[in-house]
This record gives sequence, C-alpha cells and structure tokens, in this order.
Amino acid sequence: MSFTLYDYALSGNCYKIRLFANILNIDYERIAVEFYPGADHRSEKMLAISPAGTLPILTTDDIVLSETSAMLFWIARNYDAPDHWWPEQDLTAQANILQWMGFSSDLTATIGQGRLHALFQTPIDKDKMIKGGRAALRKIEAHLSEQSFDGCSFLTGNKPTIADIACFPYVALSPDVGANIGFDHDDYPAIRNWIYAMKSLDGFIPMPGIYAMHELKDHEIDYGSQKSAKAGASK
Amino acid sequence: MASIAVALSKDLPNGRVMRAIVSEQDLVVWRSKSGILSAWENRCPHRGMRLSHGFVRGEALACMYHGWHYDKSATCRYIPAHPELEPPETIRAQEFSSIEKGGLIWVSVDGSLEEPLIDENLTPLRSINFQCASKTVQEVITKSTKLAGDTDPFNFTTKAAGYHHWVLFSEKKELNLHLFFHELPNNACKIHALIDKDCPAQIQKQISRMMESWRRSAETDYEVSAK
Repeated sequence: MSFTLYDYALSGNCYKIRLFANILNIDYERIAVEFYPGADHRSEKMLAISPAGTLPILTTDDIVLSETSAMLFWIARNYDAPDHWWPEQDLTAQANILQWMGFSSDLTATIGQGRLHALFQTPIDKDKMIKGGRAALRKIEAHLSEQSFDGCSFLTGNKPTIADIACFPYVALSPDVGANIGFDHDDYPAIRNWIYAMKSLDGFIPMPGIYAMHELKDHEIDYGSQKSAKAGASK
Repeated sequence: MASIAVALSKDLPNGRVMRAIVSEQDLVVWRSKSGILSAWENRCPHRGMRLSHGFVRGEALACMYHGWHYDKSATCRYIPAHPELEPPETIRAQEFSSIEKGGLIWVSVDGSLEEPLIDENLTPLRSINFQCASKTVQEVITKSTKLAGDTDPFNFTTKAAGYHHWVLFSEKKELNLHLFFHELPNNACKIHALIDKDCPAQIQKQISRMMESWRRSAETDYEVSAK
C-alpha cells in the first residue's frame, strides 16, 4: 500500500518526507500544491482534506497526517525501514529520537520562519527569529560535538534515525535565511560533518538550497588523458 | 603576524572544503582527495564566486558557479564550457601558505609561515565560536579559573597565556587543555581546543560544556560593556 503526499518543492518540511521515502525507495503519489503565491493549501478543497491547512499532508485510505514527525514515524513502521531509523526494541533510543523530533519544531519555528520571510516576505519578529535560530544551531552543534567524542556521526548514535531526517532540512537551509546573522555553517564544524554524513546516505536527494555532494561522485578528470584524447580526435 | 590556527584537522577530511577568515582575509581552505591541503583567497578569478561554495573533484577544486577547476598550484586547469581549451597559466587563484601541525590547520596571510611550536600529540576537542573579542573570552577564563574551588572537576590553572595560545593545566586530571584563539572580524572569535592526551568521552564533554559556559559569560559581558 502506498500513500499520497501533498507537496511543495520549496518546503523543508515536505522535503523531509520526499527524502525519507527516497532513501527507503518507496513509490508514492505526489501532488504539487501551490503554497505561494496561490496559498492553495488554505483553499476549501485542501482544508476538506486536512483541516490543519499546512503542508505537507500525507494521506492513505485510512489516515491523514499533517505533522512531519508523525509521517516519518508512520513511514518507518509501515514500510519496514531498517531498524536503525526507529529502533523497535530500544526504549532509550526511541526517547532520544522523540527528544530531537521535538527539537525539529524549534528549527521550523525559527530558521523555517526566517526562510519563509527571506523567500516570500512573510511578516516575522526578526530579532526573535535570529536569536532563536542561533540558539538552536548552537544547541545542535554542541550535541553533535559531544556525539563525535563518542565516535557517533548522527544525532542519537552511529546510524541515522528519523530524528536526523526531521532536523536535517532547516539546519542545512539556515544559510539561506541571510548573511552575517550567525546562520552560516562556517561557525559550526560539527554541523558541517553531520550534513556531509546525511548527504552521503544512499538514496539522498537534493532540494532547492540543499545540493548533492558532487565531490562524492568520481568525477576526477585526468587532464593528461583529456589532452591526448583531444589530440587524437583532431587528427 | 604569525601563522594562525583556523581549524582542527579532523574537521576538514579529505575531499572537503571550508571557509576561514584570517585578519579580514576571506579564505577557502580545502583538502584534495589524496589529502593535499590548500588555502587560497576565497574568490574565483572568473566571476568572483566564493570558492568555499565549490566542490573537490579528485585533486582539483571546482567552483560552484561555472565549474572551473583549479589544481593544487591554484592554476585553472579545466573550463567545462570550453572543454577543448587549455586554460592559460595566468588564470590562478591567490595562494596563501598553509601547514598542518599538532592536529591543527595553520594559515599565514602575510607570507611569513613560521612553523608553529606545538606538541605533536594533541587530541582535538572542538572549535567553538564566540560573538565577542578574544580578549573578553580570556578575561572570562581567567576569572572562572580563579573562582573554581576544590569541588571543580578540573580546577584548571593558567600555565601559559600567549597572544594566541593558552595552556590550562588540571592537576586533578593531569591534563593540559590547549586553547588557540582565532580572531574574526566584527568582534568575534573562535577557540580551537585540544587536550594533551586521550581521555574518556565524558571528560571531553565536560570540557566542551565548560567552554559553552565561558561563552555564556563572555557574550553577556560583551553586551553589557557595549551598552
């Protein structure tokens, strides 16, 4: 059984679901909804599907979800994701995952809102957003540094979980909010290492603002052979 | 001006790119697939794009904008829009001296790369950013080490306090904590912290949290004195 995702390409929250589904190689139906300028997610037609009036929306015949954390959990369980994404038998791991899933809403409320303002001039309290976003980035940077002392590359261990998927987009997108407000990744080496680890996952896909790791592909150009091939071709 | 520590070596693995700033000079610091370190002006000679947005392609750094490739000598070797063209040697990024020692990456922007005098066997901890001048951080550290009593798990004392390099010593843990101060524009700075031996992750976390506590004090002090 598959699901339908009401989706918006520029949304970091929608991207969480696209990314996780792609990593797990799930086939699903994607319906694009015009968030801006049409605000179609608040149209009567969409509110009839999900009264929350937000994107993404995940639906099946039995379920309508409007919270990305619930979607990630549902996908992990429903599609038999490898155990590390939601460790079935490990209560401590589950509690830690829920902790960071909760933190992911702080990221949406700060960096996510700041990015909406940068893209569409939505009104925000800029000072509050900057302070909150900076505090969130510092919190995750400190935690990831501590994880590295334990030899772990991800938020709750040495393998990624749905918590990493939930926190990844708005941390990775933070430089898009603006320059010189402490949102660039230059000041956060542990975040840079984590982003690299996330981008290295099999099935990683990009979104606008989060590019793929070209350097992982074997693009090495042998300048010598390139020139001799050129010389051969001109003959 | 001497060489400045800009990052912990462990935070720039092979094939990775980062941005650093030394004395207002914007730099791209990158490491090739085989591990060769380079530090250049953070500007593509073609269109001025920051090279720190670029990608490592084997032994070359490719600009994110039009994909021009620069090899370890900072010379442009390949222009994707003109694959047949052998780029003239004059298309070059501006190079600065860089060196790796004691688990740190050092850059000099004034051409005088002094070999840093540093213990080779340090364990990297973390680089931490402060939104205040290094002098303010140093005052906070001095104050907090003086105030730390017998109940403090480390009870650090200041063993050496150079301009860029401080060493704190904990007799309790028989541990030296090395702090390398890296000043940034706009009254900001970083500390690159290392310890002189392997110690349990728990102790590393305690030191990391102690530095966060310095930061809370230092940034408040800075805001107060600025008013």
